[in-house]
Amino acid sequence: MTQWIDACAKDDVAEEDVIKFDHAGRTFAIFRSPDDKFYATDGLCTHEKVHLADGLVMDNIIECPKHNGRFDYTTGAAKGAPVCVNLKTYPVKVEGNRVFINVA
Amino acid sequence: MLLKQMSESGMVIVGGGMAAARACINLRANDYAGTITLVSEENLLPYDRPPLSKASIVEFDAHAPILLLDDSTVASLKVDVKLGKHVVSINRAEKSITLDNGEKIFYAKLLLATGAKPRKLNCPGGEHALTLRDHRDTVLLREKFQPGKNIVVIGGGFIGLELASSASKLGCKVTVIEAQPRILMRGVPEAISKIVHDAHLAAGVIMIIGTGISRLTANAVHLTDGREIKADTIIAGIGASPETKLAADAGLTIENGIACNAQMQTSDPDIYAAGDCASFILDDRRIRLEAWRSAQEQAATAVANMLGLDKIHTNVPWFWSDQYDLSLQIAGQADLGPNTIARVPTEGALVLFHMAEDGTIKGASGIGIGNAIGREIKVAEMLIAKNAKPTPEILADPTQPLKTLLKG
Amino acid sequence: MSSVVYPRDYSMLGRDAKRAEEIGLSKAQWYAAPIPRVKIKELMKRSDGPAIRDTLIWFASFIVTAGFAIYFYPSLWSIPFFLAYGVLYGSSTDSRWHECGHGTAFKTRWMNDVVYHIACFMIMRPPTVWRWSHTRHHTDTIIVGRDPEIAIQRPTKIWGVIGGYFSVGQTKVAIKSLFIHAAGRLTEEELTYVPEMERSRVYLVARIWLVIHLSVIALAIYLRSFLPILLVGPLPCMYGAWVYVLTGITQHGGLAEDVLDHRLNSRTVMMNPVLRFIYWNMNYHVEHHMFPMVPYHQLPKLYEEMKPYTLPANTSVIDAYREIIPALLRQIKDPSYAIKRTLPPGVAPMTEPIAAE
Repeated sequence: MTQWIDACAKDDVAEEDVIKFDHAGRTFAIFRSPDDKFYATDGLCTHEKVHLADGLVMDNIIECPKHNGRFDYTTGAAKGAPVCVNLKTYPVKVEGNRVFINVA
Repeated sequence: MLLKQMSESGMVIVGGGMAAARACINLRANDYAGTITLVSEENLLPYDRPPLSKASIVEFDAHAPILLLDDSTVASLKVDVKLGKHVVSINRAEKSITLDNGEKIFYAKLLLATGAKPRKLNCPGGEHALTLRDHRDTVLLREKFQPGKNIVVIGGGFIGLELASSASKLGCKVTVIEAQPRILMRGVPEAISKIVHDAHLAAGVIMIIGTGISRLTANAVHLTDGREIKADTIIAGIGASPETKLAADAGLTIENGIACNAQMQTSDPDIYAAGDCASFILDDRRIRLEAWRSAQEQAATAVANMLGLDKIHTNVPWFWSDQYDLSLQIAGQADLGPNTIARVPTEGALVLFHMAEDGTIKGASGIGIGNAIGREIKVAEMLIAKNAKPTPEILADPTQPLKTLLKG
Repeated sequence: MSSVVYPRDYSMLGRDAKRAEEIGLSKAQWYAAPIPRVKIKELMKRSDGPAIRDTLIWFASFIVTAGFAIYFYPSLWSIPFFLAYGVLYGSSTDSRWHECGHGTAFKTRWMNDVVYHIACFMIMRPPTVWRWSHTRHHTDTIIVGRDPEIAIQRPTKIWGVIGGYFSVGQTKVAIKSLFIHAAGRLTEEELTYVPEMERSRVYLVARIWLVIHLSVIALAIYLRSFLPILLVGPLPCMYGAWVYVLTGITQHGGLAEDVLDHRLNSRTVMMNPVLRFIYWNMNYHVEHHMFPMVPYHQLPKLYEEMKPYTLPANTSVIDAYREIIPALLRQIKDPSYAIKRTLPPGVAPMTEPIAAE
């Protein structure tokens, strides 16, 4: 089932940055990469359930603000200690000035 | 005569915490194919210790220990785990360790990750104070932290304050006693410790600062000024000393911990140490850290060198503490930076950058609600690693993102 | 300061149960004496011979003692025969239940099962429920909150212990659970260790037993005689229990809780051949716990093998009680007290240095 949700405006996310997006009791993180592509993942770190949107984006890596768990937000892959569980990713499309994510 | 042993002996790791767990994982990640034996005094596989003073006490869903290696990981990494076993001695001549059940294990390389043990109060009645080291202690403290009980915490360091915060959250009447003129005297700037202090006051904790202890009884703490504080449970959080007995008995050099070089190698080339038990060389200084992430990094350095990869430990120290809704983080070595630049990222949050005379950033300390200062400290850590001399104006101005300092 | 909160919570769902799981006392790594695998395998080998011989003697003893008891009844001469019969009924069944429950008494499975069910009926232990509880007793021996078979809980309730010699409490519970199971239910605790698929069997057995017990009572009423209920049912189970309790208390009585070494929480006691027949060699209790798959008739040999790694055994039942009674008395007031056993370091070299080639 596809369910495209209007998450935010393009300009809501700065380049090489992340914002939090809450929808239907779930929380997501929406990323804008240095090469101006958009990505979406689950919003909470798989280590201790901390909001990734407060973390630091460096290239394709989001680092959790709490204990420095690192993920590649383009694939969700966990990049070493203390996280070993990958982050779930979601499809993203940009239409006009809006960013949509598929949360199904 | 040792031929057969040598061919069979592999990597042996002693310990049950983060450094030990990380070492097992890193050995395999570096394609080491030989045997790995992990010996821990505890009956649990290595587990995460930061929650012991916090979530494992106050959050019902989080009571159980978080295993750093679970059964399936142990199986997939092919680690031979010996739990509940105490290492009695190291025989360096034949490269073996002996366990308390008499079992002897030969090693090619040995990693000591024995941690640190809480200091005991040496005042009269000191035995009445509980301490926190492992999950057993946590279970006991949890049972003691019943609503309305009088909990007295001796020592205003991180463990003591985190336990005070946990006890207070559970509805206990908490008193913190600190002999120094302020809490968090070691390693935390005064402005930040003030915020922590106020948070404890706001939570109703009684803070008795600058006052010593004369003696303890089963249900009271007697202060040097003659006061008597009623206590159902007394906790001592007065620091930890590195667990070095095994290493010292084996004749290894001890210097505020098991003395290692920058490769985490001890005075015996086949024995390494990592984590709270080890002191090592960082930036030409011998330091010892009791820090979760550093334990991981030290283990990684040790493992690389155990496998002959020749790696120098350079990681910037990093530390955090959670109390109430506040999160505190410290990166680098603040004492190397006498000049301080303050930044207020959001209201109620504070980040201090510790700058050397020549403008190099040496450390950063931050505190704020939730994750308010996570990014700032992370960027600071990267600047410290680069020995950067960031523009003071940008550091001080919260409207200017710090990340720009990393470019160029 | 003590590291646990007293009084302990011995229930399977309580505070200490959670504690034991959290701190890794459950399903932990226990000390095992370094007996070569080949040797253990040889000792574990099952056979039918010894148990068939013992069981024939056992059956014959029932017939002889019951026969004389009936013959002399109601004269006082019947009393010694009732006593002997009672010990067979209420005590020797404990060890048969135990050993056949392990499946190690006979090599042939159905023989184990037959003796197991006879013993269970006499000692009034639901066969399925107790099989699981005993499994637990072996995985988590004397771990508070995990072991459902901790005979003497602290602080010591002295009347409970004395009543135990006549199985008062246990029989009361047994009768109650007989009705609960017959009604098609299990207690909360039993639900934690009796697997789903075994539950219907529990109910069936309880219903069959209930029919037998009621028939015996009906027969007694019909004959207007106490004889049937003196020979079958709760009464012989109670007046004959004392020997198994006498020996059973030596197993772990007064020793440490929550230690992962059977040498510290179990006791091996030297006993005479008659007691050992009734008790099926369970006096070698450290040995039995360390290697539960070794059949009872091989335990004396295992005892010899393990000698270098164990503490000296108690020389007699009296010798054992000399340390148990003061310990139990002290535990009335001080539940944290336990008989401390220290193992000399190096008592158990597990790996001998590999010889030169």
